[in-house]
Amino acid sequence: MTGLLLKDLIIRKKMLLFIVPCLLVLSGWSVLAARLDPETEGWQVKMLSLFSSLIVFFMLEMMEGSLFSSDEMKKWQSWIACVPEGVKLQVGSKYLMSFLMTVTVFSVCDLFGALSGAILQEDMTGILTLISLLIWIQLFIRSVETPFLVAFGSKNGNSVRILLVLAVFLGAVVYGLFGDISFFTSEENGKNLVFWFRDFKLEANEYLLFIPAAVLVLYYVSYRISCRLYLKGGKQYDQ
Amino acid sequence: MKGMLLKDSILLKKNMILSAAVFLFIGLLFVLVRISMEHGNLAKDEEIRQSLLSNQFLFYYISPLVLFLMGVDHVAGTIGLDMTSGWMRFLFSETGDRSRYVRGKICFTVLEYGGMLLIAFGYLWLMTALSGESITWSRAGNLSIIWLLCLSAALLQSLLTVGVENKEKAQIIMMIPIILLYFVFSGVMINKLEEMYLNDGSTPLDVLREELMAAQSWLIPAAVIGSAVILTGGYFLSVEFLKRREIK
Repeated sequence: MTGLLLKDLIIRKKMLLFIVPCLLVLSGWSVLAARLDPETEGWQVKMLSLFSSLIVFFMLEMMEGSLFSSDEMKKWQSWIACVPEGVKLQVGSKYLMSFLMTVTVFSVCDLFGALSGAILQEDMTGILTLISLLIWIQLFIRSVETPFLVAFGSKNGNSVRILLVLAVFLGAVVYGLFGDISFFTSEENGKNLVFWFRDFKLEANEYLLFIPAAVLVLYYVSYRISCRLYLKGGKQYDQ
Repeated sequence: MKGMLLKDSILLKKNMILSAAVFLFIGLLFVLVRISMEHGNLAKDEEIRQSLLSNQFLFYYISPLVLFLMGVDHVAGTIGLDMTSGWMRFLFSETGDRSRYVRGKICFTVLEYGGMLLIAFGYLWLMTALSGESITWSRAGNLSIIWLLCLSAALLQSLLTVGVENKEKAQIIMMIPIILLYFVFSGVMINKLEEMYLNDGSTPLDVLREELMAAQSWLIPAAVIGSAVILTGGYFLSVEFLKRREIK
């Protein structure tokens, strides 16, 4: 397992050298804003932290989408399938790598958010909880899409993924343009939507604590499904 | 020539489908926004509607621009592939004139962009019809300028790729004048913007529209003549490079 994780790190060495500084700059925006501009208000830093975390979220989504493609190009799966427990180790290493990347990146975002809160002496608990929730959303997405990537190869799997994302996006646009959006546009609720993010408190949302447990179970189930589908997918792209 | 056109069309099939899909998606978003401005949520807020109406000229040109820009790299990509796959050996072993290769690539680019222009005009007709307007000479002229500039960029990149024998090098060489043009253009726009802000508080999009309309009378001939000069020179240079090249 260690060897496989090391291999993935070495393969992505160049990409990481480019991505890591980008991630640090993005997640450090709020600290810079808090440090450089003394007139920055607490809610602005909160929104900035959330916004930069969302950009990081999409960058991570793109990075993790390429986890399987390098092995496909090198026809890796035939060799790894011959090793005892090879399929489990191979798929497990991808899931572990994905998990570690997600947790590390959003922990950095949380750290920077907390730092900017400390500079401005602002309570950031709510917004940091929301950023932490992005970890579980990201892992949920991974749980759903990784079996597709494994079963159909990263090329076809990514196509399916992009189509799904576009369909959801298009649905949201159509709803926004023609559906009932009074909740967002009314004088009262429109403001409350921003304030909801700003004043988000964990105490009022204890049920959110169950999300990590549910996602972890789903992540494990997804891993087991991917193990079963790995060789089937391998046959498709090992031509 | 026919064989080359067929080969390139097969090589570029996926890229062309992807470009068309991206164009359709972006175009669909603009169509939905336009319909919503009359019958949807955007019609309910007069302030937003007026703001969108004053900038709706962007609706006409953004999707075609995306389509044209996605095509810039297509033929240069096939030349790069010809060079890396060893196909050039086959070309050089033929007894015919090597300039046929360059002419074939130019022909394919013109055909591809001709098809794109037809699609873009179809889209322009749809968007203007949704707005209750018609395709004016001014709109057709704007679309033609955008098309001509992108076609020139595509041809120039193809000729550069033939000339320098490397797709990546050609891309870098192409980027230098584009970056310079960008800085010159943005410098001019900032000056104009400052003047207009002082006068009537126009937005950057208003300034862009005003400038495009004002420049149309000289921009079309200038674009045509400039493109013709660059491309003719580029054609002869790339043919000359190709003739002198040894078989590797």
